[in-house]
Amino acid sequence: MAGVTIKELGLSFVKVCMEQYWGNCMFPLLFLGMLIGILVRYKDRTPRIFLYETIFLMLTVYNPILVKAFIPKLDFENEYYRFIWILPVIPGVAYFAARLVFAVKNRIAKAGMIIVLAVVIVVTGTPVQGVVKDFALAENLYKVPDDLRAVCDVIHSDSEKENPRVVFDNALNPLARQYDPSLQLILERNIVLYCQGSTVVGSFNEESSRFKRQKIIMDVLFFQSDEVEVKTFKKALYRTETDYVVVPVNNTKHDFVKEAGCEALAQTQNYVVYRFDWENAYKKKK
Amino acid sequence: MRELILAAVALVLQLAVFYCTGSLLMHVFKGKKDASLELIVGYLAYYAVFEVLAVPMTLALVPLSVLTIVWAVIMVLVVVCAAALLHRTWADRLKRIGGVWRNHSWWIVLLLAVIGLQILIVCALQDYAQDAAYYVGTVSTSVYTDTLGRFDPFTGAALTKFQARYILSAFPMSNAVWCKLLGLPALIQCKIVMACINVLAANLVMYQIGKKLFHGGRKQADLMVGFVCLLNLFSGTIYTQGEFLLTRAYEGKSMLANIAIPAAFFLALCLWQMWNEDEAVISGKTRQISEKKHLLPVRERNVWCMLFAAGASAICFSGSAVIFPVAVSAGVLPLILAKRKWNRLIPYALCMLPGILHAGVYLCASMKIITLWAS
Repeated sequence: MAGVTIKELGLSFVKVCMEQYWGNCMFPLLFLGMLIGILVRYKDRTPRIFLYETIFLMLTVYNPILVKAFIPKLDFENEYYRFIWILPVIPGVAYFAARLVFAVKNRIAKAGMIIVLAVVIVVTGTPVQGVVKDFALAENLYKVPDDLRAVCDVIHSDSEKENPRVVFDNALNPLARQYDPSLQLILERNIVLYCQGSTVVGSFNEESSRFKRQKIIMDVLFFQSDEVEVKTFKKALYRTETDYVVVPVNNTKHDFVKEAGCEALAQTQNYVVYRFDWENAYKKKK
Repeated sequence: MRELILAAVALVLQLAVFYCTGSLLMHVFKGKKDASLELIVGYLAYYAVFEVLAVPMTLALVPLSVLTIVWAVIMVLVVVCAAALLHRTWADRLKRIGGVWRNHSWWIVLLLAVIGLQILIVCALQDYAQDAAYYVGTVSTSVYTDTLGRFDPFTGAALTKFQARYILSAFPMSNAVWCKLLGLPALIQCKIVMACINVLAANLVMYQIGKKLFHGGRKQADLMVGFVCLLNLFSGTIYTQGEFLLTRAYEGKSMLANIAIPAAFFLALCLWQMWNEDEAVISGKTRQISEKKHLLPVRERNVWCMLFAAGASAICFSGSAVIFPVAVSAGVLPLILAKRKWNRLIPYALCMLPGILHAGVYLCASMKIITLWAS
């Protein structure tokens, strides 16, 4: 989990992780209710496994003292939330709900119970973003923007190289090589995430030329910074041997990019593809 | 259109391989005859065996095409053996398909509807998960270069060393094998075909958990799967299993969270029920004799074998499988304690071996005791 460390939180780390994991969702409370029901009411021994498993986890990987002692040593703070996958909240609550429905004999009452329980789940849960809320429909079978496919076609129809080197924007950069692995990307995924403030991709030597060149390109194209000079940007493209630069249409730096020696090749619905002839970028014109 | 047909063919073929593997194993080990359980067993066994084959080949810098040929031969052998031994069983099963309706009634419609809905979601959803740059990028890069993870999936540059946290989990290479075999683009294999299969497998594991909890009650299990679907749709932070299943179904982490870990819970539940049933055996003398003759009853032995396979498959899915031994321990240790079955600590320890081995190799690589050279 980004931004959650044992060093800052100490013994509260587990509690904070649980809170961030579940958010506003109240399913753990329903699960707790089920566990109490198992203790107090159920004669059937089978569901007791939920109780035993929960107690074991509370004493071990959810134990704040043990977590504080061992998790930092294992360098597992960022991934600690994955231990919460082991807690069988979802099957437990679903089992409890199904049991309530089948405790009722009448068919109409069963149907009513299902509706009531479904409403409880919807009201106490948090809809998955992008699925229940704001469903994002794929544009094509490849599940990449149509723009990416068009940009790749433009690059390959123009380039004589088998593996052209390309700068993409933040939206297309993670997708490009999934679709077209013949492209070589200038901007490394982890450096991009690091520059955007991610704390889960490790650290980088910010003085290294590799980092600096990519940072310059990102400052111009991602952050549209006015602090980078044209000649600095051009040098970064040259040193990284960039062949193509793909810039969103609504980016404010098109004139800047052209001034740096990039030639506009084609425009798709949302992107402009620029060619940068790095091999001749500093050759004097005769 | 071509890609759509290829995707459909790939889906059918891969499901067939999982099913044949599971059927064959259940036949050989005299396991319970249950089609959905056979699919799950086949799925876990497939990845367990693939891990054992693919990781050494990866570290030995073998080309993808060689792994593809070897694995294709193994799959063909498994399918042919399964068909030869079990075609009558399958034919009988088809004849008795009416029994599905008798056992499930209208609840089967609910089960099929919720699985269908989730499959539709994962197929139609446009996801921009950052980790896909690794999971899908590794597949596309490996296919393009005919190597096993020797090029950086993020940039395309050649690697000098493998990263232990990634390379010990061979799941992306399985996708690469299928892409190589069928000429299927990596994005379609991962985000359509594998996503559908993983959703199906995750729901079948929940169905089996439901059947166990309700002592064979199929209708109750069908409804439970329906509630699981609804709970997943409304469990919405970026960390939950539901989020991973619905938006990142093709990632190894999602398979760990939604298939391997619930499978460990299911198998612990099997043990719990078996031990409860054993206690209910009327004749104490009968119990004593059976305990003397066999270290483990056959059906319990099968459960432990499946738990071992689940552990090996968990490593194949993701480097986060370091948590899988905790999942096994959480399920099994309290039961051993509750029933005082101290001799079960031996099979329990054996089931931890894949995780311990994986952690050992990972630690050695992290501490630079060994170096995993990529060239």
